[in-house]
Amino acid sequence: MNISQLLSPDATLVCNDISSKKKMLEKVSEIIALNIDTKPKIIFESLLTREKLGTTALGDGVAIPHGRVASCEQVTAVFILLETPIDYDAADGKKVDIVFAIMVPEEAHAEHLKHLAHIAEILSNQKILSQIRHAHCSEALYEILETAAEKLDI
Amino acid sequence: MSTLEEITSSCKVTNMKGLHARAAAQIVSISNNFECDMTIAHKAKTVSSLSLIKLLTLDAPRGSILNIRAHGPDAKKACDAISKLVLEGFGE
Repeated sequence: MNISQLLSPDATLVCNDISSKKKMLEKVSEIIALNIDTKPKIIFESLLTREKLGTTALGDGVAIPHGRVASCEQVTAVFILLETPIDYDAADGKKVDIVFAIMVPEEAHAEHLKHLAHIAEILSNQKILSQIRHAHCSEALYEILETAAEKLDI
Repeated sequence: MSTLEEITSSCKVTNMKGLHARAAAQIVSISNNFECDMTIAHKAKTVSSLSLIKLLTLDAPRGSILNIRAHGPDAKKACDAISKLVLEGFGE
């Protein structure tokens, strides 16, 4: 898999100034809004609506906030490593520090599942999670994901 | 009932969105109610029914066939409950 189909280096960040789920979703929304023709507030509402249906935390400090907006023509992702883990109502009780957010077109169900499967494959690998958590800058973080995606046979 | 009992079942994903994150979370939640080890397989991949992130790796859209395998005292009940959930489209 080529990670660039999903994620750009500009949308891959190490953040030290995010202290809550709300602030994280706002940050994600601002970045996604740079790539699709929608106001950050609309994207934020879409992500928040999904979180209200049930947490998108998957356990092990990983969350995959996601949403759909009408103007989204192709999947757009944001990847954030939080230096300070945040509360996320995860089933395993762990705070979240690894966030892979995606915005998908309204009716792209099969495509959405395929992207989720790729992300889950990468982020269920403990070795990759450890590498991600040791990334010191955004560039290094992107490289880790790029390499991980290439190595996995997906 | 023997604790060695193993039950298998196959069912088709019927809901429009397929096995997405909330649907997978329901599988985990129901699996937690039973005393058994259960796996869900799709194509060549088999994962624990208790791992949300692993369930998402199954990439199972509408129409996919899921193969459920349960082993332990509650195997039959667990298998039936998951099959029902999937066949009823995760309540969607």
